[in-house]
Amino acid sequence: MKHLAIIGGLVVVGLAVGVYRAKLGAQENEARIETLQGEIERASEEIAVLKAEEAYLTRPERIGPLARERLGLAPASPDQFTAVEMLSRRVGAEAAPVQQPTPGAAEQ
Amino acid sequence: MTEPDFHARDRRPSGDRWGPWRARLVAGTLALVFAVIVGRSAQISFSGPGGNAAAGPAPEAARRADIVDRNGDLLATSLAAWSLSADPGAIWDAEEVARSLAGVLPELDVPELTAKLSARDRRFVWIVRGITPRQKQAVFALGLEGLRFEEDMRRVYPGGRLAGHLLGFTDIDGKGVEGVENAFDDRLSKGGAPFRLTLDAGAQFALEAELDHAFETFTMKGGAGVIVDASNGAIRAIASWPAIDPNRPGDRTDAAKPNRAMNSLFELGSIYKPLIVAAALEAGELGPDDIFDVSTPIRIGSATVRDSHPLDHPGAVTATDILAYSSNIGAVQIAQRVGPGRQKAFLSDLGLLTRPDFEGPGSAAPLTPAEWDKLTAATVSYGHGISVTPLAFAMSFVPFANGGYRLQPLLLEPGDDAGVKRKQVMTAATAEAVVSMLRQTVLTGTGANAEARGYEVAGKTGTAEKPGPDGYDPDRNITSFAAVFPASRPQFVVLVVLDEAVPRTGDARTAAYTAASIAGRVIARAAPMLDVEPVFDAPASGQAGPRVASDSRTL
Repeated sequence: MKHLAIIGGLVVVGLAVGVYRAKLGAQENEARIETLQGEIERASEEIAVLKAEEAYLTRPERIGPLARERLGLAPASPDQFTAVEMLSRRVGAEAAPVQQPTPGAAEQ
Repeated sequence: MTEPDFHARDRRPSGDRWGPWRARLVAGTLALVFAVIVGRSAQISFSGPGGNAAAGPAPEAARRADIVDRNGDLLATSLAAWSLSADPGAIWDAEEVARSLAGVLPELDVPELTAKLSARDRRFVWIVRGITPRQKQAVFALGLEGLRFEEDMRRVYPGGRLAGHLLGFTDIDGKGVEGVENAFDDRLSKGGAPFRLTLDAGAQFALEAELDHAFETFTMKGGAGVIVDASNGAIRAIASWPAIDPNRPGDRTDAAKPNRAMNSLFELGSIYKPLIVAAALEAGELGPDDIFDVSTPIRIGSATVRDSHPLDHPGAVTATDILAYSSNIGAVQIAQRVGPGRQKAFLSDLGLLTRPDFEGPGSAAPLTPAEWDKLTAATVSYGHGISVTPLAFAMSFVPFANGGYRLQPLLLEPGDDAGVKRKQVMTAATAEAVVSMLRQTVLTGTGANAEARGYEVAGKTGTAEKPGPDGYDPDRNITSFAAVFPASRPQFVVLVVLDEAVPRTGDARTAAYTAASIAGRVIARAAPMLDVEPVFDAPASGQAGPRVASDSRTL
C-alpha cells in the first residue's frame, strides 16, 4: 500500500510537471502566434499600401503624359501592326537570309 | 514520576463507534479528488491543445475586398488610415510640436496648429484625419508628447476619376452607397479575393480621355460612352461625362452626379434605323435589291416626315443608301413594311422595352410609347418617341456583331462564354447584311468621321432633337454614334452619346461632326488594348498595311 502511494505520488508529480511544461509551451506558442499574426497584418497592410501606391503611380492619366514627354511614346497606331505573312514585304530587301545550321555543328 | 503513556493513541472513547467510518470517508474523498486530479492531469498531458487554445482571439471585421479590372489592375482598395489627435494640456511646447508635425505632414498649417495646441484648457483636439500608416510611423518616430492615434479603414480609388461613376463610393462607415460599391456591398464587405470586373482599365481610360477631348472640341452638357465585347456581353468600358472622383464624392457638381451611361434616358435618333432594317430583313419584308423612293415627304396623320439632307438620287435608293445617308423617309417606309406589331416585338427581343437585367448597378427602365400605332412605329424607326439608356442601346447592337445573339451585359469576371445566356434574335445572315450596310455608312455616308484606319468601323450616326415644353427643340441635340468593329470579323460594340454638343469650329451640330469623330478616336485608341488586330490587305494587293477607308471591297 505504501509503495502504491509513493508511485502514485511520483506519477502525480510527473504529470504536474508535464502539465506545467505544456501550459508554458502553449503560452509561448500563443505569444509567438500573436507576434506572427501581428507581423502578417503589418505586412499585409504594407502590401496593400504599396499596391495602392503602384496603382496610383501607374494610372494611365499619369503614365500617358510621362511616356509621351520623356520617352517620346504614343498610343499604338494601326501602322505599327503587321501580319506575319506581311513581314517579308515590310522588311523587304533588308531582310537578312536565315542561316541554315550546319549539320553536325556543336550546339552552343 | 509518571511514565509516559505510549499507548494513549490506541485508546478511543468507547462510545466513538463512527470513528473508523469517518476516517474511511475522508480517505475515500481524498482518493476521489486525487483520482480526478490525476485523471485530468493525464488527459491534459497526453492530449493536444484544449479547445480554448484553438479558439484564438475573436475574429476581426473583414477588410473590404479590393476591386480590380479584368487584368488585375487595382481600381479600389481599403487602407488602414489613422486619425491624429492631441491633448493640449499634455504638450509643453506647442510651436515645437506643430513645427515637427509639419515636417512629416506638410499639409499642416504651423501657426494654426500652434494656436490649436496652445489651448491648454482643452483636453482633445483633432490634428489631421485619415493619414496613412507610413505617415503615422513618421509621426510616431518624432516621439512627441500628448499625441494619440485612432485607427480606421479608408476606401481608396488609386485611379482617381477612372471609372468613377461605375465604381461609385462608400460612406464614412465603409458602406457602399453608389455604383459597384453599392450593388455588391454584401459581397465586398465580406472581404476575401479581389472583386474582378470585366472592365479594361486601358480601354476605360481611352474612352474617358476621348470624352474629355470631346469637351475640348465641342461645347456640350454631358456625354456617355460604352464599349461591349460582343462575344459574351462583357462591358470593357463605360463612362459618363463629366467624370467624378470617388475619392472626393462631396466635390461632385450637379452636372457630374448622374451616371449618364446607365441611368439617363435619351431619345437617340437615327441609330435606330439599323434596327428597323434588321427587323424588315428578319420579317422577309426587305430584299437586297429593293428600291425605295424617298423624294417625297411622308404624311402620317397630322405629322410629316422629311429628310433634313435630301439624298442625291432620292427616286431610287437602297436600304444601304437609307442607312448611309440617314433617310427618315426611307426608314419610315421600311417600318411600314414591318408593321407596328412586328417592330415592337423585334425591339422587345433586343431588350429595348424593358429595364436591362444584369448583375450590377441598377440601370434605368426605358420610356416607351403607351400605344404602338403607325405614327409611333414611324417615329421609332428613326429614334424618336422611345428613350433608353446608352448601355441598353449598346446591348441592342451586340447581335449585329455576334451572329444575331442577344446577350445580357456582363460586369463580373470570369466572363465564361459557355455560361452566357444567349437568345437568337436575328439570323447570322441578317446581322452580316446590316453590318455590311453600316460599313458603307462609314465608307461613303454620314459616318465617315468615325473611320479608324485598320479597324473597319461599321456604324450609324444619330441626331435627335431634345424634347422641350413646346415640342422638339432644333437647337438642342442628342448626337450619337453606334458601331461595331472590325466589320469583317466583328468583336466589339461602341456607342458614344453627346448631350447638346456644338462644334467650336462652327461645323454642323449633327452626329456626323460630333459623336462620329469621337467614336472613331475611341476605337482607334482602345482597339489595340482590346487585342483587336488591324485588318490587313491581302499580300497580292500591294503594300502591306492596314486596310483603309478607300477600300470598299471589304464586305
